[in-house]
Amino acid sequence: MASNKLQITDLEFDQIKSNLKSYLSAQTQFQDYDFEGSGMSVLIDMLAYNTHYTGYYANMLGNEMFMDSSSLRESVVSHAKHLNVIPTSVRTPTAKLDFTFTPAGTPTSLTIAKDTKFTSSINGVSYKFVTNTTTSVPRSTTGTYTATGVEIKEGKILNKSYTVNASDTAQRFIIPNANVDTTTLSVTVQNSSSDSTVYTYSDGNAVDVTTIKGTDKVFFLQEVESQKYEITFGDGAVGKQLSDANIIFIEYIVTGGTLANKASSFTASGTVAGLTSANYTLTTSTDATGGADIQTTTSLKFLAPKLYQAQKRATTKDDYKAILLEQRPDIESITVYGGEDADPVQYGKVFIAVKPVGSVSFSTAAKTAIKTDILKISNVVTVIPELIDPIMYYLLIETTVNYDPVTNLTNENTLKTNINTSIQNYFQTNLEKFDQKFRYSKLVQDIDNTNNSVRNNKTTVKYQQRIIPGELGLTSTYTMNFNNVITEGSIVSTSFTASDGITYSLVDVGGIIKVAKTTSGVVDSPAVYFTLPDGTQNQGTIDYTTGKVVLNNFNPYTITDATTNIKFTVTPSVNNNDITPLREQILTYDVTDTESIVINMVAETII
Amino acid sequence: MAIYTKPLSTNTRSWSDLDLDFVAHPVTKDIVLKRDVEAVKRSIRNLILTNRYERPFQPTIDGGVTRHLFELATPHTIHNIESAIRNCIYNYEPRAEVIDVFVTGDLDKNGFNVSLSFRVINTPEPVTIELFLERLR
Repeated sequence: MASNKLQITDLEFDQIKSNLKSYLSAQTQFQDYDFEGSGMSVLIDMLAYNTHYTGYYANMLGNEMFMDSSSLRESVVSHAKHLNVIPTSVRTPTAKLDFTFTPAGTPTSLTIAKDTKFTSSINGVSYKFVTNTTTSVPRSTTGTYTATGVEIKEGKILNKSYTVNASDTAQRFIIPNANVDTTTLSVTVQNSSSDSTVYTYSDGNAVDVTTIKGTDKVFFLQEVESQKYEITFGDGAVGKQLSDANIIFIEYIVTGGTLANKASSFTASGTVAGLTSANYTLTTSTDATGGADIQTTTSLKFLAPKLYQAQKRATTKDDYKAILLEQRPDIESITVYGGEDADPVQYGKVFIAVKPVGSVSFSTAAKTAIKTDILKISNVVTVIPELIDPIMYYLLIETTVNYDPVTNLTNENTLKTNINTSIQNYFQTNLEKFDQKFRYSKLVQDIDNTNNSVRNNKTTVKYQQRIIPGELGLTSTYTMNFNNVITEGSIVSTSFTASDGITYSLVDVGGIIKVAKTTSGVVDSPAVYFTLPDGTQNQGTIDYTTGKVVLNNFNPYTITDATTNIKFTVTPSVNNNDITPLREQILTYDVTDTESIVINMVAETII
Repeated sequence: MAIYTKPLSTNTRSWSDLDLDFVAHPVTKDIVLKRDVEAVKRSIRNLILTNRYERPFQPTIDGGVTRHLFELATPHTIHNIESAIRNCIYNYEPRAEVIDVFVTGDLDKNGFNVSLSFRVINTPEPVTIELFLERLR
């Protein structure tokens, strides 16, 4: 309809063009606006394109103005900065090495220099590790030279210097590399080229800003464009101000992040403490762990408001999660619960279960570091934080797959491999973290969807808990919570020997756990039960409703399968094949266990 | 697709368009308009010199001639240019009825002569446009 009013609410090109035509239809001077070849049409196209372009630009600009809708990393980082949150940088994997040196003569001490280089290899890819500090190895009273727990970090130590130019108001001190582990950054400032007095500056972000005085030598780090970092200094009120001609020296490690996690075998690239490999022995004390990638924008969007809410104080469950995830990017999964929810109840405590990236649990040293360096600073004083390891439940899947050999375009083995991959993908995507349930129907659906030739599958699920006896040959009580309704009589265990040297395994006899003699992993028939020192055959109890298994005074002498653990396997109730982990429990699978995924293929041709 | 909001059957209809040469009127200094047959001729000229994907959001407008100038001249080229011109006018210029399109290659000058005859609807006189198409780069 003809109108001399221009509609301005539309943003699409065609709508804008239509509005312009509608507007022009109210005039008589230019009649040809409606024909695509006309000059007016060219002009309208240009106007509509320009309006569309501006509208699109305004839309994108609007998106970037808010943390929720922004998509550029620089925008998210900038919004997080307003909440006093700095994204965590990539973190270098750290390994610990032990050395025993045999130098010529009897020097008082040896020195493992900073930047001593080592190499390690994972799947044929070589990684370089370096020492980031100097370690002194004194001669012991017995004349030996031993260094334990020497830390090496994956990556390369780089350095750079800047000269402060006070007349350049736009001068910026940007670390020129990406992939910088900012925890390895050291900053020193020399007065000038003629005055070689050097001061070490510390990280101002790590302390309460209200406590920083105008003379404190601190630097502040912030992420800027292209995942690089900028160093800023105080203004004389908060932190010492730089002077003209000051020379800033920075040193840092550039790393590949998670790539070198689990590196376990190291060799030195040159000499160590001035000695060749013939004069020292090197053993790996701790495999490389702790490597992490730079915080993603998704993670930053999730965490920044929570960190702002927590204000660096751990009071609620989410506070603990937010603070630990920020400070330790090598945490893959975390769950927190109060002592009032623990079993048994322990008031005054908060339990924090953490699972690191690429491993089941943190080392004792890492857990101590988390407690002292992070939790003690932010925790409420009357609450005792307890870092606990996750309890792993290993799922055992046995499935019989009927497939149509006619529509299967591959062979049976390939289909079997693909089904195995589907099951593993299900595990890796849906499990292996805290609070993630096993959904039976989802798994069988994934198996069916692997290939069109799969007709159906019959899948049974068992799950397993593993106990590592504190010391073999000593009695101890073990409690396992399967936390689900389990099938009566379904409990079985791997075998072990008892005090009489005979091989046994644990069996479930009507709610009582008994120790039954086995031959080649099979329980003898009729069953022969081990008699305990108290004269009974009752090793423990099992509650089928709650899934709680208690082993009283259990005393294995050796473990038959040459591992360090005894595996207890149960079958969840038939009516309830879903498995729900509680608190610190994680559902996973053992990729090395041939029984964890068993697939039986049945070719079914329907004529 | 083009959106034609005005009926074309009226015989009182006159055409008026902006001249993209933006020539100023010698007296009034205002922009000179192209009217009636001249406006249609200019429109057809614009259309057949437009290559596909050249117009924003209207990739299908295709006069077809410029893209053929950058291809090898084969016996089919003349026919292709001819049919592209016919299709383009049929699709995007409802004011014109094509009478004939005559394309000849001028190999010495590396170009094509196009002679297009058409009739503007509701007018009896045929109109002819002569174009020589050659590459500029």
